Amino acid sequence: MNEKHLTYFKVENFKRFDSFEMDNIGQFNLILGDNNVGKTSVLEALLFDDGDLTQTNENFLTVLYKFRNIEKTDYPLELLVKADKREKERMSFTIKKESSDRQITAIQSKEEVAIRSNPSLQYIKYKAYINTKYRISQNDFEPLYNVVNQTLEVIASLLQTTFDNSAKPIPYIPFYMGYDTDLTDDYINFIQKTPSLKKSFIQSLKGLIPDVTSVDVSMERENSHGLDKPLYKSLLIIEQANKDYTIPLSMFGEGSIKLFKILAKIIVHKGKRLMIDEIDAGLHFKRFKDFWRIILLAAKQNEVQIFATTHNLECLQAFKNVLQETEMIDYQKDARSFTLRELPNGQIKAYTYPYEQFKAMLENENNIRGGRYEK
Amino acid sequence: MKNKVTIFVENIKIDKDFINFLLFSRYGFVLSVQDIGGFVNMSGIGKEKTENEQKFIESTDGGYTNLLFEDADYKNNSSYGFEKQKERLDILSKELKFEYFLFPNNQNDGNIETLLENCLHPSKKDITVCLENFYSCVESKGLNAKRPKDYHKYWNVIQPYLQKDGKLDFSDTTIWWIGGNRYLQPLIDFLDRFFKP
Repeated sequence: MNEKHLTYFKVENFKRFDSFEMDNIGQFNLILGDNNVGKTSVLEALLFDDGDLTQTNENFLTVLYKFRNIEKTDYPLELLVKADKREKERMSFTIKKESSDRQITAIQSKEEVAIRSNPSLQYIKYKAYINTKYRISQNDFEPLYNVVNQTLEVIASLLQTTFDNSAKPIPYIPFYMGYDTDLTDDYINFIQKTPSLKKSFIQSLKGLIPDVTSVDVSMERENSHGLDKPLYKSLLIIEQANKDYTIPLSMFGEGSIKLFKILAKIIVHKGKRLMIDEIDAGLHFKRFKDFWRIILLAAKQNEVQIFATTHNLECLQAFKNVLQETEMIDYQKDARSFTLRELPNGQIKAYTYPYEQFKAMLENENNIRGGRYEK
Repeated sequence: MKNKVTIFVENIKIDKDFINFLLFSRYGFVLSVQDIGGFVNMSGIGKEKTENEQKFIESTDGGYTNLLFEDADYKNNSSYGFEKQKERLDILSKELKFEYFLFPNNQNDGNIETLLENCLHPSKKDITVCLENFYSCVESKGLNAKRPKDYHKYWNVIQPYLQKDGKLDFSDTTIWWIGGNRYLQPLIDFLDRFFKP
């Protein structure tokens, strides 16, 4: 744990949560719960960043935009804001960190908005964060955008600009994985340019590809479909010791690519936190343990706080098993599992299980994955 | 009548099965393992706190009543005995919100085996004789019979009654002596507080 890591987190009026809190947070956190209980929403709420307020807003919007089926097209993004201001609710975040007891509460006003990126698509409705305002401690509000009285065109162009310019890395790995330009972009923009980062990335990668010596970007010519200009696509290629040829990353399996992606994010977000949705998706359960070991070692070395979700019991089992290894015993005190449950009143509550407790629960074959209370 | 109750037990095999026999014969239902509203397995409540602390809270939050079953044990270096156990659980139960019953009868030192010994159906007493004969016969050949612990012994008694799928028929009234057994009365009284016959 470092001073930037969260020990407590509370969010109010965010998506399905009226009020949701997580206490006794560790450096390595695995979140379990039934479908639709809000695991992914927790990760999205954790994108809140008190250190860089501009970043927070962009994180939220980018996540909505990129990962929640709002396709990027040539059409301007359309956005409707509910006119009735009396219905405004305030979204707030409260966090505590190890370094101080100081509570930071940021408040954003929340409004119903509808977004669509293509006239042929339906509007996607959100209670979202468009008229974004923050307050830190007792200071004044700092408006970031104020789009309430703007025309749709202005709003759309404002958002468009935000997305186009958002070359900042997002500490979030969504459920959908795979090898796409995202990963290459992250690598080119945030790792390759900084020799020290590249070095520690290669170091972490050795857990996955033992004799890797370098990762580089290669430009491949694509079919230009009769256009005048040739089209190029950038590919990540892996160099290994004792091999006279390179292998493109896409030749590795889905699991390796996923791990590659997680390691890249860990390096990029050194000292901060990283949210990973459905961490076990695309992996064979026999690989879970090795997978965890590589992630935990890299996260510890780079002081990254991990928040991951799963509903796979074997994934939690592997998490426990890897922590039992002699070299990992020091990691036990920083490991937590959280069980999310929907209470009879509809609220969502997170139960914190420190290592000793989730170990006991697993060994006694008790349910720790949450679920619904019988009605 | 089924109620909103979560039952915490120390030994999921013996405690759960025996309680289920009682539940079925008296209230007409059984509970399953693993979640709120059923049986939860404990590795035992620690000296200060329990590793299942969160599970008690989860259950209480869901509007469930928590019942804890533990052995009173005998007072010695490593165990408490009834008086000391009661003292400890009285404090802990306020914090974690549960009602408890200490085997065998919530009054004396002992454990679930003590209770089971007094509840074995009279027609089945001879099974323990069979087992005893088996062990002494093996030992007479100069071999190690590996006499099981008490609860294993009773597990052996139960085993012939397991069905093909490994389940027990809780409606079988020829295994345990339940109706009119005075030794069982404290436990029945305890359960009657939470379930209606």
